[in-house]
Amino acid sequence: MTTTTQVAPRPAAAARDPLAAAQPTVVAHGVSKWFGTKVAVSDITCSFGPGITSLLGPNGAGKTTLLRMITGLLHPSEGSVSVFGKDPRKDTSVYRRIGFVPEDDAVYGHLTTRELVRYAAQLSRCDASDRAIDAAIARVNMQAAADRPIAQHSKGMRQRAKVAAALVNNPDFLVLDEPLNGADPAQRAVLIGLFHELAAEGRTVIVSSHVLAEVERMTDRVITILDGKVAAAGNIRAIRAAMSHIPHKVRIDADDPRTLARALLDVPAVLGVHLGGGGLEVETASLAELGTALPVIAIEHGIRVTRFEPVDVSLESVFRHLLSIRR
Amino acid sequence: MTPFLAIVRVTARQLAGRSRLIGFALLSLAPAALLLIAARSANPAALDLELGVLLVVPFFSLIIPITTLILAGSALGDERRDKTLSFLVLRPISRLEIAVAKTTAAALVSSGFALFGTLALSGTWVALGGTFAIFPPIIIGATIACVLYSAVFVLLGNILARVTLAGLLYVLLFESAIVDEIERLAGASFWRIGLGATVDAMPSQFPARALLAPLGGWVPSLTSALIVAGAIAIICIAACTLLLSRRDSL
Repeated sequence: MTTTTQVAPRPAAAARDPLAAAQPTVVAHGVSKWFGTKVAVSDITCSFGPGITSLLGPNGAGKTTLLRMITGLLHPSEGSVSVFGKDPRKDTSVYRRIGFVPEDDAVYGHLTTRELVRYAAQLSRCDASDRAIDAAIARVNMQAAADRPIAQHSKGMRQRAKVAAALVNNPDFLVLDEPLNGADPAQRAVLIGLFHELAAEGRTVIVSSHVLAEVERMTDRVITILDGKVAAAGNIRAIRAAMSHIPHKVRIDADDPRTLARALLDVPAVLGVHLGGGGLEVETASLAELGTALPVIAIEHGIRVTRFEPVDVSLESVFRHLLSIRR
Repeated sequence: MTPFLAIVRVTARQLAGRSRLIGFALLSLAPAALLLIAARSANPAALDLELGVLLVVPFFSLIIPITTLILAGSALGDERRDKTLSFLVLRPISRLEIAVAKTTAAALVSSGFALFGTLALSGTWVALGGTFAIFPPIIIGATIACVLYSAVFVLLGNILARVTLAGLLYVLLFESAIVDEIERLAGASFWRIGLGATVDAMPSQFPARALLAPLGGWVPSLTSALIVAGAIAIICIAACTLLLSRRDSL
């Protein structure tokens, strides 16, 4: 099931097409990739522009394959990829503007972070001076560990070292494949803050992840991939709203939950009410209808409502729902 | 620093890690150690023959090939295995530059070990009353062999997951057993090409005839060895470039 219609991304259509970025810098058009008989990515058309876009999906969904086709590491079996108007597999000059953080624990363990960042700068033909290297290392807050061999780093620190190396050429387009893997909460906060900064600077940032809560902290533009196809795309809330046939869950706290529960059951849009934790969890077919009915009921019964919060407008719930459909 | 030099430097460091440095240095010292042992037992008049048969030939036929195939196979093979290849190929540099830099790094490191072994062997030979004139021919031939093995095994490291096994089969089975039986295949044996160049460059006073035996009927001159090495290196680098361009970088 998809909640969107896939169309070729065009700037004019951007406002309507959740797969199309408003100002596309990176365009994947009808890309497919198969390895032998296994189809990893099937006919995906989407575009990316300034800001953060998350690719979301379970392991093996095709996120990494799509990212690798976008960067030119893999050539599409069908379709085409354009980065700043160029095919990265044919014109390597485009790599001056790209930074890539691979998913794998792919680092040169014998180098220090400083050496890795300098190597990246030299390979990118950009400023490899001490000042430039220090600046890239400072952006990921790794000054204290910059001169230790990467082999001695924790996985989270390796991720930050890779991010520093990806930033040293001041890229306009960053591809981050599971960049938060192995990072502790403090490191994640640093990295997420950094990604927001990069997006605010007008860079195109694609982040792939299966850590749903963190994706929500990073961006609200999400492309969900399942079985190599786009399952949903757009704003997280819009995706959830588009699945209108799926009941919404709302948490309501009130001073008299039992009376409120009885009254709510008379509202046609309410499908079920569960008492617990000093409040209610209401399942409704229409958030708007519930939102209209609740104040009326509260006034009518003299109930004080202290909390009204949709509890499944989250990637977790969207993700679970999409997975259940897949099964 | 240019991307080419950066790749050469980082690859050379990667190839010459501490354990490899110690292991290959000890292996390269083996001919010198054997010469010392041979000098104690051999007839001094026949020492040049002992050097040739016992030491120079194994130096060319085993030590150089095994050292070089392991190093060269790792130059790109380790990048594929460790999935660091994306770090190299997603850069504004040509695939040709990467292929040449990797081959250069492998040839430099393996030639370094060959230089160390040749110096030890020549120094020991001088200490036993011989002449240092044997050093230039051996290092020239050894370098040619290192370039040949490097070019081929950097390419194979980009293709095969078990490049070291394939290399050992080539060296121990094809070059040693099969070519020994079928002399007309001698031209496909890289160490024989290097050894041929060494024999050709040897001082006339050095009785090189003992070295000729393992070469069979085909003894390349220094010039033809250089031409063959250059041609094979160009073909392998071109193939490696093509593979890096066309093949998915997984």
